[in-house]
Amino acid sequence: MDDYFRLLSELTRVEDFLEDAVFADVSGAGETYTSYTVIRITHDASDHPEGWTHLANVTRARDGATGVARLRIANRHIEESSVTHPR
Amino acid sequence: MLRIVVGNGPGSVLDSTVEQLAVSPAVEIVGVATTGRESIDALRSSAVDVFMFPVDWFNLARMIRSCIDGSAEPSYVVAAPAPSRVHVVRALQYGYDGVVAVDQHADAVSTHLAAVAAGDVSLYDHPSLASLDLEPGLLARELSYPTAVDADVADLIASGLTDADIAETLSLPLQTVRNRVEALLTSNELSHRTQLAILQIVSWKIPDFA
Repeated sequence: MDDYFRLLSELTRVEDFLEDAVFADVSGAGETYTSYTVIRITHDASDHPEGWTHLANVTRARDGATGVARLRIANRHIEESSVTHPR
Repeated sequence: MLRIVVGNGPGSVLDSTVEQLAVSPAVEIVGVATTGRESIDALRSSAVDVFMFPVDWFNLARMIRSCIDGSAEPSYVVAAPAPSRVHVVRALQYGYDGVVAVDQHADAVSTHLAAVAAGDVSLYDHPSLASLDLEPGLLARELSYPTAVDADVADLIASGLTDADIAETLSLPLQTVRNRVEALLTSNELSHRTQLAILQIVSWKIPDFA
């Protein structure tokens, strides 16, 4: 994790940040779509060079695997995501 | 002996193919038609196994087929020097039987045409579709749409728009579009966005001339 992220309180609620906690992550050169649910937003970021605004713990809808997602959230919607280490 | 009618408009890329096939012992060129009228006359005049035509005859061939008695219908085969995936998908959409590469030896062309006429090869087996990891019969499926907006999303994907373009067109958040694409893929048991695009294109109805 890089220095741009700041740990948030464990008391934060997903619904404080997002209208809908379910999102589709796109990978595989835009061909593969995977549905995840945000279960906790752990960090926020300001002025991240890649535009990420939050880090979150996520679960994959298909099999319940958990992972970490970098998110770009604007107007309570996820505009971009990058999920790593779902297992 | 494979009996072929070739649709070949003026200046068509099929001129050299016709010359090569004409000397092939496995093929009889029943006629070379340069117009739709000539094609219909040639196809009606005697039993024909294959009607082969160039890619710029996609619509014309459909009109020709609508004028031919269905009981004696030949196989309809699109010919191109190096057929692309687009040619194959369009042929599926139009209900044609095959796509043949004519930038190869006449023997290979006639062998492929004979296999199409015999029903031994299907467009779904075409090599240009191989990279899509298509399961047998997948393209013959009918798409289902979990919600009303999903048919619009599928149409726009098939039209070549990106998710961002679709979001702008439908005035939806980008993530909503991605969620809908994911739902379409999951509900139809597809693994790639391109598979969805191709299934949607194949489902588009081409107007009949009849």
